[in-house]
Amino acid sequence: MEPLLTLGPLRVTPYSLILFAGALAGTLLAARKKAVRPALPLVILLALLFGHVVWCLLNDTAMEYYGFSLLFQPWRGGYTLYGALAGGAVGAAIAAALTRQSWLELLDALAPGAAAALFFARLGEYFSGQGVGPTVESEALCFFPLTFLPYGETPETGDWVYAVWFWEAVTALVLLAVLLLRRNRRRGDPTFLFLSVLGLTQIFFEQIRRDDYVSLTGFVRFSQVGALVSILAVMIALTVMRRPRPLRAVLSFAVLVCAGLTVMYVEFALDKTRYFPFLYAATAATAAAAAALLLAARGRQGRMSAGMTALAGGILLFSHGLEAPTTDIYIILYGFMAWALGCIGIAVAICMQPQPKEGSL
Amino acid sequence: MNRTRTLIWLIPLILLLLLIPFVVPNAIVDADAEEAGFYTLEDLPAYEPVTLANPDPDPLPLGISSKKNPLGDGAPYAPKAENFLPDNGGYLDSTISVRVEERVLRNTKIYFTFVQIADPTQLRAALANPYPSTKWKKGPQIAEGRNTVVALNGDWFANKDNKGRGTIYRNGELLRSKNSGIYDALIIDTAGDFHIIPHATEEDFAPYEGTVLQSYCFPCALVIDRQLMTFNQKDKDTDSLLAHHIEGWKKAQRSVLCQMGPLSYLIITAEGPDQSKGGGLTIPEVARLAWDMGALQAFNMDGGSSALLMLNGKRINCLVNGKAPKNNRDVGDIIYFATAEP
Repeated sequence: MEPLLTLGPLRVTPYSLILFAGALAGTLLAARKKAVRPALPLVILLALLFGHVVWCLLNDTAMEYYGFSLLFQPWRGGYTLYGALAGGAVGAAIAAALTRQSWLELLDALAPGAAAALFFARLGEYFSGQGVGPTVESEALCFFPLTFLPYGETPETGDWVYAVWFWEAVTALVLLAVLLLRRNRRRGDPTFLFLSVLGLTQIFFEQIRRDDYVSLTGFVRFSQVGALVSILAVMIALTVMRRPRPLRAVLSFAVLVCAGLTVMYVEFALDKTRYFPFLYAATAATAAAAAALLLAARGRQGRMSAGMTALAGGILLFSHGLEAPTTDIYIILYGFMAWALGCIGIAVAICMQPQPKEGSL
Repeated sequence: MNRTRTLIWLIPLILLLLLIPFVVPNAIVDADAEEAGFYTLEDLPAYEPVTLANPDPDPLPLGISSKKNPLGDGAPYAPKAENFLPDNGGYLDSTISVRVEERVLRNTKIYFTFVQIADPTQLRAALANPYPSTKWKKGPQIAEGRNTVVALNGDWFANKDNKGRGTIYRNGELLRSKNSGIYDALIIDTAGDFHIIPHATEEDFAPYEGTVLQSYCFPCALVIDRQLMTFNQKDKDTDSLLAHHIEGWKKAQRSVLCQMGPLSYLIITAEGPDQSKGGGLTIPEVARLAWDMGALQAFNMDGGSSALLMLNGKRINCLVNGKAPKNNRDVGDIIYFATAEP
């Protein structure tokens, strides 16, 4: 990446400028609420700190190579999204305690700013070479925004790759729009919406990446684990705060567990480790749990959606069982993943709903 | 007072925002990154030919795994525990010498395993399941009961995605010969010498008939007769093979088998982006590395999560906190070296 400006050892690149713009946008959005402003320095500082420290801890080879000093040289390495989110949350908690305001309300006010910052960060990945998927095999797929030529490459020198960074940027932008436009009836809604939408989409998009993603172990990407933990935290918080009916709560967690297992076995399959019987069993269990949840939450009105959900799972199982040619197998596996994540989304959405009337499940 | 309170948070906020462009990756010129190449010859371990105490043992019997005898491709003699060197440093007895060296080059941990054997039959193959099964197993599971000293993964001949390509020999037995001409082939003959043939067809194997111990078909050859292969991304066929079959232009885990001299071999096992940020080697890089190590012949085996290096039947590459990763990929077969010392 060519720098735009060089000042001695420091250089300003397109990537760093975009990140600055993102941080500025996020700050201005969060600062709309006066009570949030004093918290911002601590939130940003701890987000940067935690994001980089977690990255260092997960890169033992880099630590071995550069030593302890790597912790103080973020320009050599990078950051993790969920490390930064955790740091920001801790910063918000400390600031909330110091300013005597509600932590959750503070997080709600920060959520749109975080989405805005994320949007810019993802756009910046075009210049940094991150957020790219596998090489495209078919010329028919060589068009933006599905795929793109990496920055600095020409059709003669480069391969078209999937533009994961762009899809993630669009997701962040949509999330930002929803957070800004949605009328939030209850405390925590913006935070829960942010974490659950981000988490579900991150699990999917991370799987497609073929760049310097941070892995926890082997093919398990740290962001996916962070996303899963944040979704679980959201579900637990919703259960405690909103107190859904016991049956809904149980079925929601059942969907989370079964769909989580489905996603896990899909990842094994994508890594060419075959646990297909377990994948089929987890998919069937997810379909059953999701259908039961929809029926429990919506009664008769839920029959159609429950049936469609179960049918989608069945179609995926049938398609995979036919052992379609290689390329189709991967599309079907990603279909499994998207469907399972959609089921988790349904579970979270149902837990976020207002308390049901007496007499319903 | 209000102004003071405002300044207390406003000044740090402005400073932090202004700091952001300088704390992102690549914001500061890194002297290391400005050097050409990612290693010098001094960084690499030296190849030192070994004289074995027993250079002429009896040949080991060869066999192939079958349903009646799943361990039919195992070696007869078990390695002795006292002959393994500390810290996974290798193995030494009168008929085999194994020396494992680690280097970290450009944030990538690379294992250089030098192997000297006394008889060609000590270089063997073991299948996960009897051919034509496409069921795979973990490397240590394949090694179990087969008396391996050191082992690496093979090609992916047993993978359905392979579409049954290639002329495949294991331990002297021809398993299949079809759909050839697409991949390069490595032939290991009965003298333990490597012969590498680009885009090998069945006809190319004819001159070696009766003398083939092992053959592997995979993209791609890296060094042939001390000539470094070059890879032109603009060449459609090369690009197709490297880009679409083995992600050769991207940094990844790599597993390479080289011949250094008579009955003298080198295994290069590179970790990848799963293990460290920016880790891994492209195919041109690992080819150059093999050539700089002095390889006469070098052939790329299945990489990515399939890249496997085992010592005494235990994985030693891509470890997480000293243990094998829970997700280590199943493989179809392994290439292993055994002892000929009873």
